Amino acid sequence: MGRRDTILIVDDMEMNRVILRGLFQDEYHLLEAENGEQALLLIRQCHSSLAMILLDVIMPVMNGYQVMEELGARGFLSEAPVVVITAGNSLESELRSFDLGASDLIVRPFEPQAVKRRVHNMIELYRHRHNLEELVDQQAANMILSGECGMFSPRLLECFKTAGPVLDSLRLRYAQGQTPLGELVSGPSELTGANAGVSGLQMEQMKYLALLRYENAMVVEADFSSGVYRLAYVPDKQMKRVFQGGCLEDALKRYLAEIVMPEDREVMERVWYEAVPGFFEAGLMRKSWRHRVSDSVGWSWCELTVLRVDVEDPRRKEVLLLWKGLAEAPFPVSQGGRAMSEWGKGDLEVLHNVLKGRFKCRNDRWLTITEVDPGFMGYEREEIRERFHDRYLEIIHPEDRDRVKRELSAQLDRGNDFELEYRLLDRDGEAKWVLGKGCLVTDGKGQECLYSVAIDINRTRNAQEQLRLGMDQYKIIMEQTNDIFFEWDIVTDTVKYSPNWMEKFGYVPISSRISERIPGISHIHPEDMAPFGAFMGKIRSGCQYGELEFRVSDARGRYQWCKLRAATQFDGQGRASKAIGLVMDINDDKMEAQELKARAERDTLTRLYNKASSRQRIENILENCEPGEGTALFIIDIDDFKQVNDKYGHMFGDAVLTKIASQLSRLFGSGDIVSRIGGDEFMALCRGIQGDGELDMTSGRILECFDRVLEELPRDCRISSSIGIAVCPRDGSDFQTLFQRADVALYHAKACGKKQYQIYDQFMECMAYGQNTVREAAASTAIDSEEGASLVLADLLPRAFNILSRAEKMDQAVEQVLELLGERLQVSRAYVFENSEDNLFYSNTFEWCARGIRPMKEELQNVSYSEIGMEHKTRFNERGVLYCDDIELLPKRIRDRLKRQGIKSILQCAIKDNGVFRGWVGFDDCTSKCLWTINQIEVLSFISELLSLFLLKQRAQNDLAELAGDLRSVLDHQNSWIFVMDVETYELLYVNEKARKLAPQARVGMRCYEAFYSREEPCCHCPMANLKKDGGRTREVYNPFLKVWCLADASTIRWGRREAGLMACHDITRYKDKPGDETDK
Amino acid sequence: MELKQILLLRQSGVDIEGALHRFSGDSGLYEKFLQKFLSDPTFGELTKALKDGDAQDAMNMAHTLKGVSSNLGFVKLFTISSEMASAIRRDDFKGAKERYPQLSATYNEIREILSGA
Repeated sequence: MGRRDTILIVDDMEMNRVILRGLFQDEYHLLEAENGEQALLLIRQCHSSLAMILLDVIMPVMNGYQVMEELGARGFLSEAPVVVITAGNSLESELRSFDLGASDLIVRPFEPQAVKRRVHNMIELYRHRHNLEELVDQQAANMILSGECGMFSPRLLECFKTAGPVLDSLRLRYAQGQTPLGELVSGPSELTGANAGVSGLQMEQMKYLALLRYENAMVVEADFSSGVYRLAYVPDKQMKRVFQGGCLEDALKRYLAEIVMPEDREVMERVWYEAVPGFFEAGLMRKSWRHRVSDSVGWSWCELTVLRVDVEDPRRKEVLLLWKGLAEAPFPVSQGGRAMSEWGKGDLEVLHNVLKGRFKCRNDRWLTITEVDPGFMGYEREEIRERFHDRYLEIIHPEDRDRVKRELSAQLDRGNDFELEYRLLDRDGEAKWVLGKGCLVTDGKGQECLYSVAIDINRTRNAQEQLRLGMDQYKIIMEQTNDIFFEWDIVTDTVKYSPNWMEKFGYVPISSRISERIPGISHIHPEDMAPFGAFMGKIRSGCQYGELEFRVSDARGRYQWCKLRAATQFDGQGRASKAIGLVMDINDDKMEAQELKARAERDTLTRLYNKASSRQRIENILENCEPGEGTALFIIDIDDFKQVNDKYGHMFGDAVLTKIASQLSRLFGSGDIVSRIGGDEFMALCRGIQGDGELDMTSGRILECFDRVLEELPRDCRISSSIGIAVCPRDGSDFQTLFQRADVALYHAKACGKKQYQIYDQFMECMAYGQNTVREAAASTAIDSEEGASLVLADLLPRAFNILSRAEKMDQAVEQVLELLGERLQVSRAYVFENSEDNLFYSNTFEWCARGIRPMKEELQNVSYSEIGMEHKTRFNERGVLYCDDIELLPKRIRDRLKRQGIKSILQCAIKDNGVFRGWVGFDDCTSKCLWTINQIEVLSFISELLSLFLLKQRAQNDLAELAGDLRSVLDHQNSWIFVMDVETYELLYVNEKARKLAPQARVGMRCYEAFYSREEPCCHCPMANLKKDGGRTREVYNPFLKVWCLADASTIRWGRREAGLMACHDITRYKDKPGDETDK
Repeated sequence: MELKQILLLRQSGVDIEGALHRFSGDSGLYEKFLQKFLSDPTFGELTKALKDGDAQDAMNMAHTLKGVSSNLGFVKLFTISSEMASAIRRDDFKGAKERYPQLSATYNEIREILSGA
């Protein structure tokens, strides 16, 4: 059984169908109908492949409710769900839909994606149910095939076999006059008794009986030699009573008396007492008699058939008697016979011209004539007897005899009427075409007879034969091809099709009232109906020849593309009377064409060449261009186009692109190639460029182009373009090279601030790391992958370098770089982790998150390496890169950590300080398992190295600053006056806090004697001077200016890059009673 | 389609993005049906039915107009034609007729924009 993968869309509005088509065409096969009747036609044809019916309610011809009623009545509703789509009428109408069996109701305007999901879910649900049902069916089929049930069951036959001995014994008992009433009627118990434990057989019998019930037949097994009978099955009580008890003869007598209609009794008596014995004597297998019997209502026709059961022994007379009710009365038996002789001779002669004659013959192998009109085909009765031995078959043309026999028996299998065309040999030996029409009647003697008339059709038939010969030739051609031949009779509005229609499409096509039905309710795609109707009108009104392509559904519900060719034939008055022609399968061509269209030459929106086709054309031009011809390749990129889409919507964005495209194509000549190569990227090859001056001019005009479009835009919508240009042959002579270089130039233009053009120059290359390899990937970008497929990394490195090297605040710079990388790579997070001093912990020190991504920085502070393992650094490869496109591949404890953060894939680069692992720069992707390209990894690891370099430098500086700070605070907290001075100039280089408190006027840069002694020149007993002279460095000093005694300790230290004096003075004032005369010491 | 037209449609409250989404993002297809709307006879037939007092016809036409408007993103037109249809359904033919001027104004506004007048 085929998969249910077709959705039928029923809607009279084309727009509605188009919208639904757009939603489902990628996943399902679609059938479409524009009215209820057409829907029903398609459903009848294709219901087994339907997965869903999307039904509009209000439609002409037949509305959705009527369709559902029909579907319900035919039981199709259980096969495929019906979803009603409505513009929301009322609760009442919604309820009605559900009452009629709709599975769901969708109200317009709907959200397309939601509808898609709902439909999809429902289809899955039904598929699941169908699978279950199929499973059950299959099991049932297996049961039948393996003989567990069913009417061909071998076990059933077995059942009859076992009944044999029982019958024999019973027969004996009957013969002895024992008639156990009712015992046999409830026979099965007896039978099972004879064959204990076969309850399965009972079941078989029940089924067999059910079958008979269905056939409305009665069956009696009888043995005419012993007179024993058994009622096998009887549907009505009256009959049951008749065939109960006694011997066969008694039962039959009762039958004649009680059941058979009085008028037919005589006939049936003869059947019993003469015909049946004759039947056995003649060794016949089967014979039937018709008669009227009483039934519950009145009298009805029935046919009694005697069927020989035992074939092997001709002496045995075992039969099955089968009564079968007839729906219609058979041909009146006796009237025909009487009528014949009433014709006058004159009448007959007249009639012989039209009717070749009437005859009656037996339905035997020779068609033995029993009665025939005198003068039949010019023969007298005697002649027929002598020449043909009364065998009608022998009058028939030898070539037609076999066919007549075959067709006759075939027609009689279907009913009692027959109609045959054949040739008869007339008295002059000439073959004459006749139409033999008649019927089969069982006469009073139970004999099957054929009553027939032969009508002269010689002339028409000859003409037809001519045509047939013609057709035969067609047929031969037809058989060679798969095309369907048809003949449309315009007058009767009917069409005949060659049989391969059925073969091809799997159903009988519409053949009558076609001009009304085909364009209205047919298998043709709704969109092709109107053209089909128009085509038929054209032919009818006398167009000689016509062609039409259309789609028509096959039995599975698949539209097939066909091409119809018709030639019109005219009658004597010049009116179109017929059209003959062919229906050809052009599905493959069409599909191929559509595929080509999809791969299309041109971009559907702008009608410019698309990337693939423009590339092909450009390559072609470059290969064949004249050596001296200057050619330039322009890549034109709209600056910040995304903003236009975001602000004004895609409809507007598309319209802007279309405008730009038309401006561009107007700008370039017919020999040039203009194409759209990306969402907002265009490319143009311009021929016949002479020198850079012309390049400048053309580029200027392209830029102006955008200004012109700008005029139509709202004031706050600004668009401009950047252009990169490469010139052939200077910059390259093949497409790939030119494209790459034009692209390098374009990036240069972007980097220089957009809204400008740049002609390629070698120097641009060195500004971009890994440009060529990356752009190669970009060169194969498909259209509409505006953001994504390929990452343009080329300019990342210089930009990152710029940010870092010019940074005043390192932290901000690092954040900027992370943001730049994160945006461009479209990752979820970009971050830096750094180790603690002792390398035992790590912290998230910088983080950038994409919109909607949870920041992790707060949580990831001072995390111990013991959690992820000290060996973590070994997971980075020899180039210091750890990348993993699927975190499932990582060790569990790391995987779990990452999962908690919602990460799907990572790329990390190690930060190393003198070969020591100090942390890492990394990128997370939380949306998908991202496959990082070699290029990306290369550029990123390079930038990470750059980042770590700057970071380490920053950290080192910070460390030093910290150290210095620490030192100072140590000095400041000393309970001594400490200062540093230049030993040569006495200039103060540093003063500690305590010293500043003592001498608030003291400032770095002052002379020490000025600051602390308020003197004009150095002190004569300066400890610092002594230090140089005699090495003695500590002495007690009184400062009269500050009025303090101190123990001054002088030493030399390195202060920055020079030598300096450090003076540390301890306060000893309280140890001195009063200032002495040693003041000036 | 002219840029001006798109902006005007947006201004007049047409849900362009929503409709475009329904047409699977195919702006060409959407535009085709926008153009077809100009030759759609529904509004004219609705006008006639209201004038002739043919409630059944008016309801059918209002319903059809409602369906078309919903697909094309004509939010206002959709709302008014919905109200009209439900008014007729409750046998309030007068109420339906009262909404006609508003419907007509909205219809003509869209029509003018679409025909580029």
